[in-house]
Order: sequence, then C-alpha cells, then structure tokens
Amino acid sequence: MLTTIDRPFMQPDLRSVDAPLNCAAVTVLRDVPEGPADWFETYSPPGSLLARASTGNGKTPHEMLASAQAAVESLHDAFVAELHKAVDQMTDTQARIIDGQTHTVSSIRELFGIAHEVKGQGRTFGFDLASSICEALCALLRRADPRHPKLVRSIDTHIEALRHVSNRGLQGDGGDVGTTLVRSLWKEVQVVGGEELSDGPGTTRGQSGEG
Amino acid sequence: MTEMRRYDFSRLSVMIVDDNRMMRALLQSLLDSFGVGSVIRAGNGEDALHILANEPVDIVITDWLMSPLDGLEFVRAVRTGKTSPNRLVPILMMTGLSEMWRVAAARDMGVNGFIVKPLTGESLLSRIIHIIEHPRFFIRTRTYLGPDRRRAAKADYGGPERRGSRTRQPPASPQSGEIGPTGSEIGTIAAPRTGANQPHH
Repeated sequence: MLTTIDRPFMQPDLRSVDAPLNCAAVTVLRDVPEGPADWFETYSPPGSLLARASTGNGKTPHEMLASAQAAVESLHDAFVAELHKAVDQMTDTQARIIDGQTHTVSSIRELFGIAHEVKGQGRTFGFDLASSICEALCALLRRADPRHPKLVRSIDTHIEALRHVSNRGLQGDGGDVGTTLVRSLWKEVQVVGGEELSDGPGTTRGQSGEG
Repeated sequence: MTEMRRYDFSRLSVMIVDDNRMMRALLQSLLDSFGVGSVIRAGNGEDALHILANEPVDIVITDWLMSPLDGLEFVRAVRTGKTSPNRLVPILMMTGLSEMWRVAAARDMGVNGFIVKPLTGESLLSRIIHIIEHPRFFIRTRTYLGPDRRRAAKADYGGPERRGSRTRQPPASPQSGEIGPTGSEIGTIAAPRTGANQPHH
C-alpha cells in the first residue's frame, strides 16, 4: 500500500522560508507492504538549488574554471612553504621516534597525517613527485609493523626523497629519475610493509583513516 | 558538465570541513573563483555540526580524515543524529584513497558523492553542478537516511527480487563522482512496486 503524507520533516525548521533546502515541508511516500520491518520513506528534495543558481547573467563552467586556475596558481607559493614545513615536521617526528621520546605508534600516526596531506595536495599544485613519494610513505606507514627493524630507515629514505623535492622545488613527476625513485620506494614498502592487505573496517590496518 | 548553461552561485552557501589549513584555503579560493556567495570553513566535524545548526548551508564538502569527529562520523551525525539541523543537505566527501570498503562505507552513511584527491577545479565544479542539476531523492529506512542509491527503479519490473540476498554491490567506480541515481533518473519513484524495487539499505 502506498500512501502519500505531507508532514513536517523530523523537526520544524524555524528559519525563514528562504532558507536553503528547507526541511519544513516535504512529500513523504511511505510504502508499507508487509509490516514495520519493510517500510521505507522517500523524500523529494525540498529545495531547488537549480532555481537559485541559474541565471542568464552568471558564468559558464568554462569561465569559472579559468578563474579557478588563477586561484590555484595564486596559492602555489603557499604550498611550497607548506611542503617545507611538512618535511621539517616529519624530520622532527622521526627524530623523536629514534630518540624514543614518543610512542612509535602515535608518531607513525602523526607522520601518516602529514604525508597524507602532502599526497593529497601535491598534484593539485603540480608537485606530482612529492605526492608519489608521500603515497608510498602512507602505504609504508599503513602496512608496516611499528616494530619492524627496518622501518625507521625506510621512513628516513622517504623523508630524504621528499626533502630533495622540497629543497629543489621539483615540480612534475621527475621524469625517468622520478619514476626510478618512486619505484625503489615502493620496493621498500614491499620489503618492510609486506604485501598489501585487504584493509577493511574493523581491522587494525583499516583504522589508519586514509581519506 | 552542462557547458552552455550559465550559473550564478552568489546565493549559494557552501561549507568546507577540513582540518588542513592549506586545503581549506585552496577550497575557499576555488569556490570564490566560482562565485559562491558564502563559503563557511570548519576545522572538524564537531565545529561543522555547530555551524550547520546556526547557519544556512546548501552544500557541504568534507574531508574524511579529521579529529575529533572525522568525516564519516560527521556525515552520520548529519544524516541520523537526533538533533541534526539539516539532514538533507548534499554532502560531498573528499578522499585521498578510494578503497572499495571506504567508498561503500561513505555511501552507506549517506554521502551524495566523492571528490577524489588530487583536488582540481574541474572535479570540484563538476560535482557541484551535478548536485545542482540532479537533486536526489532521499530514502529513509530503519538503518539508513541518505540519497537514493538505486541505479534505476522501474515500475513495471517483473523479474526476480535480486536484492533479496541483501548482497551489497560495491560502487561502480572509486573515482570522483556521484553515488547512485539522480532524482530525474528515478522518475518512477512515486510508484514503487511492492517487494520488487524496494531498497535494502
């Protein structure tokens, strides 16, 4: 049996009627075929973004992207500074691990967070090689046993590679040299971290929270 | 992307949820360059929930890896939290890694789509335009509230109930994109067949 019910959604929306995606009134299509266990409700979107975003005076996507390119370029120097900072932070964290000042697992999590950000942003600003190095480092930190005897040295190798890119401001993928470097880093990952496990929710390795 | 249409985003409000200052700056610059009227920035999911309760937001763009409330927990709180102020707000999840289980987890939590890093102006704009052009129906069951994930719903479907096994199909692609159908693609939603096309979330 299909019934249509007009009713407030969850709770009254006290904002003005112009509020975006106002949830005050939605059409609910409720299907109750067998019993309570089978019900579901369908909500039609209560607001129209299209009506508010479409005008004859706006910009085409092409025009918007031209502006976006300029926006990314304007942040280039800021990213270079962030890259330097990331290398320094990694070096400090690594030093604390070696000195035994911090718990290795928490430091590894910290390193992962830094590497993860560089990995995600590098390519946006043209630093493909930096992203690739950090991608390998993230995989290493995600896969390796924190007690592995070669882990610290392997992390060092990755950080040094990233420092090289950072100090020289190397953009792009680094050509043949870059490809060889990344390949050797992934070999390290394989040796120290082992084969890729099928990470999944609920597993320790799946909690690294890459996203 | 609809190339010929013109868009004026000056009346839109977009919230960025990311704990990385550089990423927030990048997103802000990109959204400014698109002409988005209001860009609100939050450093984590907790702050974002507070903002959602107090300010109108049309679209949320959230990172996954944050603390104290990460992106996935934030989406859960928006969609199913008892005090959630805006359950239907479209949410785009940014992710640096596209393992299938992560994509599926975010989908099951009710995200509207993914933006896979590296972030580009093109991928961001295409996702925003897609949300605007193709508003999605929302489904609420006992265990799920979020965009309708069905690829198609045919009112005259007469075949076997293939979802009866409750086998979950992984998303088709881990790349930037939408999850599930758009409202226009499931135009027959108003007349779902009993037992034939029900979503099993």
